[in-house]
Amino acid sequence: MRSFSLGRLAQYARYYYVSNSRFIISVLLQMVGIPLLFSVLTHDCYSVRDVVVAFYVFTAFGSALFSTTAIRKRGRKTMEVTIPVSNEERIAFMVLNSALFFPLMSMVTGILALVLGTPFYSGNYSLMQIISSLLSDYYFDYPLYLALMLISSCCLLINLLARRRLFVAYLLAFIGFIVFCVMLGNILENTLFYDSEFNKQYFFLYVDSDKIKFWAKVIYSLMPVFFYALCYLVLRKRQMKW
Amino acid sequence: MITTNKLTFGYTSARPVLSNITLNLEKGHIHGLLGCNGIGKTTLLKLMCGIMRPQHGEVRVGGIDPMKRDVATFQDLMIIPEEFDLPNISLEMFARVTSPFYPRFDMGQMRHYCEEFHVNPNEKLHSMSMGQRKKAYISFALACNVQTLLLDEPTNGLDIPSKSVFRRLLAGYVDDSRMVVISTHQVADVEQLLDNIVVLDEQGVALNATTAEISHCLKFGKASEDDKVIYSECTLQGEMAVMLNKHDEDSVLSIELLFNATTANRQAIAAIFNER
Repeated sequence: MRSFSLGRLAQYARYYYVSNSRFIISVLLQMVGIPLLFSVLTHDCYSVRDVVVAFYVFTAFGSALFSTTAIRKRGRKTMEVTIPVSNEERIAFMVLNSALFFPLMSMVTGILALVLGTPFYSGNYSLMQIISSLLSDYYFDYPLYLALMLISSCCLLINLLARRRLFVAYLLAFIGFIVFCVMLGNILENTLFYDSEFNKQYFFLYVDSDKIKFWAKVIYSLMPVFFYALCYLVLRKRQMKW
Repeated sequence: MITTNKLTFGYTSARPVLSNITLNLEKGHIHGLLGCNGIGKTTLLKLMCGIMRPQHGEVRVGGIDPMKRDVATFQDLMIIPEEFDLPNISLEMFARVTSPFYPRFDMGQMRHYCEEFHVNPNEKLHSMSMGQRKKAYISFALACNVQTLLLDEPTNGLDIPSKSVFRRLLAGYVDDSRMVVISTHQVADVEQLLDNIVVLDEQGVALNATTAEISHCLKFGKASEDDKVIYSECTLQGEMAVMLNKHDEDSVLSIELLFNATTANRQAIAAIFNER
């Protein structure tokens, strides 16, 4: 039997969404309800837009958490863990869930909340203008989407790796990230950005910056793929937290 | 068929729960997995269904490593753990979204089992009591018609009539192509069902024999002077013993007594069955 089948992936998605329908509906209602509450309290559509954007960013963390519930619940979700789907189908579903379903739901609920809050806004504004700025500045902003994918894939990896304390795992990952940034900064300072003795010019000014930008973009775009691949390897190694 | 070869597993590397477990569980039987608390029965079931990875050794279900999550293997394998979470939907809906994964699932069969257990398949699973939910899960699992069914303390939480329904349904479930592994402390509930007994202790598999082999080798009851007693204990019926069955006499197998004899006098029991 093939280890990847689109039909089985669709069946698994159906199983997941029907099984967790109550929870998903409650999350979606909160994603509409909380911005609406802000519109009632502040009467300011711009602050509502900010809350909507915050939810959009939050989905990067939440989707990883929701996709790994069965694995994190130790022995109690055995049915979900032993359902006949391959590791490839499971990870494909997790990626689709975090890269498509939750961001899309966040966009729909965000726009819905902005529109439903119209009676509460005061002052001069154009709803269409706010929605179009929301779409162009945030929802259809590719670097932001990529950043969210990066966060989401890292969170998925943390969720799959963490054994007992998820909060501690996130904290450690955050500290690790800071340490990595500091180390990278030091390395760059000592190599690319050193002061020339003669003219006090920086070395990187002589480097083809377009080339660097291009490769930086390529690496940045591939990083979520790299983390998702790591998630797949971890999933193959371990099905359940203990 | 499930085989384990020198299987070792521990939640921490310093303290293994299971060490060097070598087993061969054949189809066509209901295997009883017995052992004291914390000996690793549940862990062994989890290893058998591939949700945990052995530290050493191997597990094979139908010749395939369950950790590989081969879809065909999992279509014929199901575990009902002692404690479980099911989604908050009706059993009917749960079956509708889960059954496509199990090619031999039969909805009519599931409804029949629910009727036998007096469970309403249209009721939300979270509004059921723990026992009702377990019966619903058992009904679903039996209707999946998988070849390998692993049950962890299946009678916990079931009322007395449901226990007899469970026994009846399970007795009708097993045929030459199927096997059931039951891990339990409630031996009285499944005593009549089991036809192969596996006893685990700290050193590994203390006993793995069919009930026919056990009855052939051992005798249970009150001991007389010529009997070679392996183990005895005081019960309400008087002094009951496990004895060597020298003359192939018939006696009613008491799994509880057998288990106590195996844990108290492991070497004697092992010697009897190794001789065969």
